[in-house]
Amino acid sequence: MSEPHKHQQRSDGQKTPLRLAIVGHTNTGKTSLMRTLTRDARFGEVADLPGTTRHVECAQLFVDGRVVLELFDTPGIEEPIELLALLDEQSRSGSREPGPQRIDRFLASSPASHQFEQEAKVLRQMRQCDAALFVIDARDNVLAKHRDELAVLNLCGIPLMPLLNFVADDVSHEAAWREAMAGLGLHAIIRFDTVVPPVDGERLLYGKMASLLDSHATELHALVESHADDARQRRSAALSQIAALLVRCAGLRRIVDVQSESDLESAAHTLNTLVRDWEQRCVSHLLSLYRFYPDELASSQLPLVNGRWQTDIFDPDTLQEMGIRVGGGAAAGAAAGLGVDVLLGGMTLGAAAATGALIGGGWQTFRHFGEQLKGQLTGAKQLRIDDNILLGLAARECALVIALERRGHAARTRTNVDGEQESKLSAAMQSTLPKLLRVARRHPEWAYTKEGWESPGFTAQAEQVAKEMADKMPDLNEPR
Amino acid sequence: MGSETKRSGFAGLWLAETLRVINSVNADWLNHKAVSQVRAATPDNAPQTLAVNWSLSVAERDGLVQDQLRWQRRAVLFLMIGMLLSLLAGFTGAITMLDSQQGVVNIPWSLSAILGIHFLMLLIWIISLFIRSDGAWSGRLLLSLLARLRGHHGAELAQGFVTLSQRNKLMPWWLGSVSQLVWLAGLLGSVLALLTAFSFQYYSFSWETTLLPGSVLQWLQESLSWLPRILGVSSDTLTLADNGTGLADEERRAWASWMIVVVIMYGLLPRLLAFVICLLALTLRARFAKLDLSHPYWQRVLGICLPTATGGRITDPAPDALVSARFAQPEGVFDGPDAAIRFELDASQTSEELRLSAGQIREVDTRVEREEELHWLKATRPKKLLILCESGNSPDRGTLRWLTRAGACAGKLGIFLMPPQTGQQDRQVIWRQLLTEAELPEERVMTDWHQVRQWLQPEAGSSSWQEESQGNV
Ligand SMILES: Nc1nc2c(ncn2[C@@H]2O[C@H](COP(=O)(O)OP(=O)(O)OP(=O)(O)O)[C@@H](O)[C@H]2O)c(=O)[nH]1
Ligand SMILES: [Mg+2]
Repeated sequence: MSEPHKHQQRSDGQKTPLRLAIVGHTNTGKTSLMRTLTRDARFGEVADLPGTTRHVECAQLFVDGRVVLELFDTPGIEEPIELLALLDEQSRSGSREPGPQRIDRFLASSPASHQFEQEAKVLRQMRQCDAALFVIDARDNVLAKHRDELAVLNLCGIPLMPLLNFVADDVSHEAAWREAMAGLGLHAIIRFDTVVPPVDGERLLYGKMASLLDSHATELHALVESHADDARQRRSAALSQIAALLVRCAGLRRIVDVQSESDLESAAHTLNTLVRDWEQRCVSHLLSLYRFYPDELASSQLPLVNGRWQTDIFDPDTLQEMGIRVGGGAAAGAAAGLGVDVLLGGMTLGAAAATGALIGGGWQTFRHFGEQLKGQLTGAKQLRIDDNILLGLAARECALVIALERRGHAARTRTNVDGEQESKLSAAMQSTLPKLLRVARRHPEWAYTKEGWESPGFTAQAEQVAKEMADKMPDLNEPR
Repeated sequence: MGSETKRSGFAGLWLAETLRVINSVNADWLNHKAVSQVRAATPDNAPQTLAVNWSLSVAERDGLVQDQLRWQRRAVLFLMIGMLLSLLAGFTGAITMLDSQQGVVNIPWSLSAILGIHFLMLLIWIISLFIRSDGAWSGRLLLSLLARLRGHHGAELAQGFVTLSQRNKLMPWWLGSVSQLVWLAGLLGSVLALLTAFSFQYYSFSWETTLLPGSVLQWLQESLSWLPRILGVSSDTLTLADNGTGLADEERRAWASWMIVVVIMYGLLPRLLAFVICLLALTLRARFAKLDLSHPYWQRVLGICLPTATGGRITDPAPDALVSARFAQPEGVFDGPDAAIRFELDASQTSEELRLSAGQIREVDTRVEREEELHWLKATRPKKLLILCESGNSPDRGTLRWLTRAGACAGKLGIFLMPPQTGQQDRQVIWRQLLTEAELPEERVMTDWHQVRQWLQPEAGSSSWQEESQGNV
């Protein structure tokens, strides 16, 4: 395939996908960009060292299962000055040649398989692509080697689109780069950061590309739309997952025959452990939903999250930090260091009977109240998860979802779940969520059935809770 | 993958749903090879097919396919036992009923005993088809039935079966087909009983009533004969008798076969019809059955099987080894004055701390500057050469190559890494690493001005720099 193949019709009538080379100086984040654009944290190899990528690797982007875009990760260019010198030398005999011809001559010459083997791979790939993204580390000064590099790449005769990477960093020479690009007639510059991708970064990137590459505009817009769709679906699936956790936790209860304080404590401990396990499971589900890898997590214990994440949800301080006041029913539990609602059977029966639970709940409820009644007679107590803890759980998981949504797949450090976000969410849901979950309180069977065994009632309740959370979450495209 | 083809259609969906119920997240999710196999098996990338194929590959590995087959066999066995019991019940019921009548079969009584409940239940079933329900009731019923089919993953298989059937409104049809089959067996038992009894015993027939007027019996007989007559079984010769004593042999034989035909026509046939309808409805609905792909579980699975992107196809492999530049021991005599180079430095990056006169520090960036500098170094052959590098910029092969070439033109090469800006401290470490890998002695890489000044001190005798630097300290 030495022909640069430009949007030909394939035999099956489908357009060939747009082929886009990701090129640039070494260590500017090309492979990281691939990871972010493909949402694949395992793509290629990313390291702080230069010359990490030494091959050309292709990734395909799909819309409805059809390839619309092929991205090619290339090795970083490392000797542009010497390469341009060689190219100049090679064409001194036949001056005023078109660029692609010079590149092809270079590719056929022997240095292309020796000193400039890496550079040759880049150029060879560019000759087969429709366009290239030139990735720039915006923190770098504009140096002679960069200018020579651009000169070489420009010889390939395909549109070159500069992408300023690392824009979330403090240090930036953006203005200098813009000026340098403008000098070469490149005005459509994309600002990006692979670790903290801008909210609409992808939309802008593909949008600008579409305006540059007319014939592929439809596919690129379809790609943008399909990604936006995916994001919405992911969000709603994530919220269902969290809602299921909350509904199950709300139904959780345990009747303990209290002989001593330690009985209560050990029972509460069992409940706490259970909820923590569930939460952990929910977190790993969320991670895999957002294509962050749970097995990477296991090795270093939730590396995506640190700090407050590891603090215990049952710690009253954690709740305080989230801006949730621990009071009322929780006080009794919190006093014992439990964070679990302790109720006398009778009290709950009274309240639940008044709300007509007995009529609505059917047999299960009746049997359950029978137990409570018995509990009251024998002095047994009932433990359940306090409203505030449920609220805290909800806020924490939702904040995690937001963090995952905003995390680039090239990120290599842990994510901090935003504490401010968490308190904002819990404040927003404070008045509605516990009330909603009250229905679930009457269904201990929801808590104890296995995950995945949703009865119609459970599903309906979880849907409501998910909707409530969706209302309180910031919009997907909301700027940070 | 033999069983994969076998487990297509509903069975495949059912396996998938069961896996959702089991709901385990394990490392295989990320097994790229398995995923690519699944993708290869699903050329059209239909999400549901992908989900099913993925489930099949997991189920196959975990032995769930075998569990399902065993479960199905057990279910069929249970059904057959049920049918057998029903057959026996039908048989003994009919025999007992005939026996209790001591030789004279009261036809309306016997027929209503055999067909009455059957008619009633059939009616209820038909009515229930028109009642809209969320299937929760029938689901619970079926689940409690299926729960008896234990076995490995039995409960999950049952739950998967029920939820899948509920979502796709298959539930009434499943229950329907099972009940039709059981009834069929029961009625077959009754027919067999009639046949046996009429073959080996002497019976006479009568149409008896206490309350009803005779015309009702007349009407009953005529209307019951309607269907058999259409199908060519005639009852024209039959007359209504008050008590069976006066019947001729032929008449008795005719009544006996009429009764059997009526049971077949109004018992077996409608049940068979209902069964066929259930079966048709099942196959039709099962063909369009769907998983709830919006469920978080499937979203996760699809995120892996139908990624919005796939990567990992290497189109141009890496070379075995890269030629990299090395710092070599320079050869020859170097007696020129010490020199310093600001390599690729921005004007804003000051190097005042060096305190040399301006002429001794040269800026190098472009190709021309690089070449000129090498010429100059070759001409002057400095004793010591200090190169100041921007540690915020990433080192690269070209830079290293030029540094080695410059190093070869001086007696001793020292490299100073300019203090990095915030956020770029890591790069200094990389510079160090690469320079040492290129065999530059570690102590020649400097990051602090004091170190530089010390390094520039002449070991013996004096150099052109000595006075200046001492004077400035
Ligand atoms: N903070 C930040 N770090 C980034 C960004 N992009 C890349 N990095 C980091 O920069 C380093 C190099 O990234 P790579 O993706 O390996 O760069 P590359 O261009 O593929 O490098 P080579 O393959 O060696 O040419 C890694 O440590 C990345 O984590 C970014 O936008 N922001
Ligand atoms: Mg790379």
